[in-house]
Amino acid sequence: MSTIRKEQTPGQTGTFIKAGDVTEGLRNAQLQVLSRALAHLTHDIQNHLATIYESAGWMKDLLQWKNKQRLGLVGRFFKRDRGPDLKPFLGHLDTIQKEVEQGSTLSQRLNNFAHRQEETRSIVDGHKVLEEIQEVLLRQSGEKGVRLELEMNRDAAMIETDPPIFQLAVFDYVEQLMEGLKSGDCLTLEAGSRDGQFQVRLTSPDPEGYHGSRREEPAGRDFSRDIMEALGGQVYRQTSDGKYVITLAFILAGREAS
Amino acid sequence: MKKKKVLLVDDEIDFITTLSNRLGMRGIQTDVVYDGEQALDYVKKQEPDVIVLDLKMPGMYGMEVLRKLSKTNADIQVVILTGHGTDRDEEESQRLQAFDYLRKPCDIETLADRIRGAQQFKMQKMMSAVAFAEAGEYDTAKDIAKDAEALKTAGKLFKDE
Repeated sequence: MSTIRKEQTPGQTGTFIKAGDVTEGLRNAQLQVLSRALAHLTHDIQNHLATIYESAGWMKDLLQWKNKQRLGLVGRFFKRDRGPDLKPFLGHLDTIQKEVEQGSTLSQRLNNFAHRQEETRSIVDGHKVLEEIQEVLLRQSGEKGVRLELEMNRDAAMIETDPPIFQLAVFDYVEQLMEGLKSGDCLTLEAGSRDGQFQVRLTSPDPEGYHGSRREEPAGRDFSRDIMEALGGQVYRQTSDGKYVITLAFILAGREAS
Repeated sequence: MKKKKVLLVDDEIDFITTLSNRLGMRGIQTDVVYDGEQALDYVKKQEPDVIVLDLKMPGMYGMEVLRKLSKTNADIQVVILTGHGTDRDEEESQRLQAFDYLRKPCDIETLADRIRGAQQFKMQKMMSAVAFAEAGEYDTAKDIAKDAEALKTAGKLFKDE
């Protein structure tokens, strides 16, 4: 059995929210996401640097060792009759290159993400904006041991939105879903254009009666709804065949809301 | 004499493998596991003298491992080695009596020194516990060496030496 519920925005339910509260709430949440992103990504960059440091150190160890006992170790790599065995060195050089590439990608994403926070309402490619928080989402799920699978249908998906708030919305709903999951569970994030909308669909095992309680759309004030209202987006929640799906839908630029 | 055991715990495989090799070159033989669960399983089977522990790992966070060890295997000396390093983490690890707290990347000689220091600290603790036990002050001996099994091993060890 499948049920689809469209989440009501505060305006529709008649809940009275002061504009200032929402703005302040959004700003605080944005800062939290930003600081978490910084913490996650700088930690990972630090790990890449540490691996490079150790690989370089390993090579230095071998090249510097002078005492008799350790010459034997160096001798393993520099054999007079066969020339030097460079395999272990090449292995470490490969590691260094790989770590630099990965660290550089992370640093680039972090840089894009940071610049994005300066933007206000504009027409942007939904995929690109999502891609910038991909690493943050992966680390956020990795910390809990939840496997996050990302499926991006990379068609043109221009949306008029507030990019940092859009990122905040995705982050917040992923976090909501992860609350009910346990280590080893899988959460899928699919993104693509459908029916004149750019949809971000989050699918997880239905936590209800499974191992936790599902955070349903509350009747009163809800911050997630505030975010979606600020973006002019819609939220759909669906349960089907043991799966729980949250769809965040945004109108593609140039299309009218139906 | 009992061989000193050092366990390295980190999910960064390239990093920890290289670190293990470099420590080996300095006469410190290590075993390696890649997450907190594996570390606790290892400890159940063969108690190491020293654990070098990363904090941020998938699944069980390093601090959780330290917390569990401080209850069940308080005599194991833990050196935190992390790229995460917040001041709060450092304070918490001190509160849980980690032997030391180092940030990545860390100079290999510094790390090797701290591991040796941790081994020596454990040895001295056990020696004084044995001395108290031999003098009939069992409660004091137990206070010093939290793990009775480790105390027995230490007692045998000192007799052998």
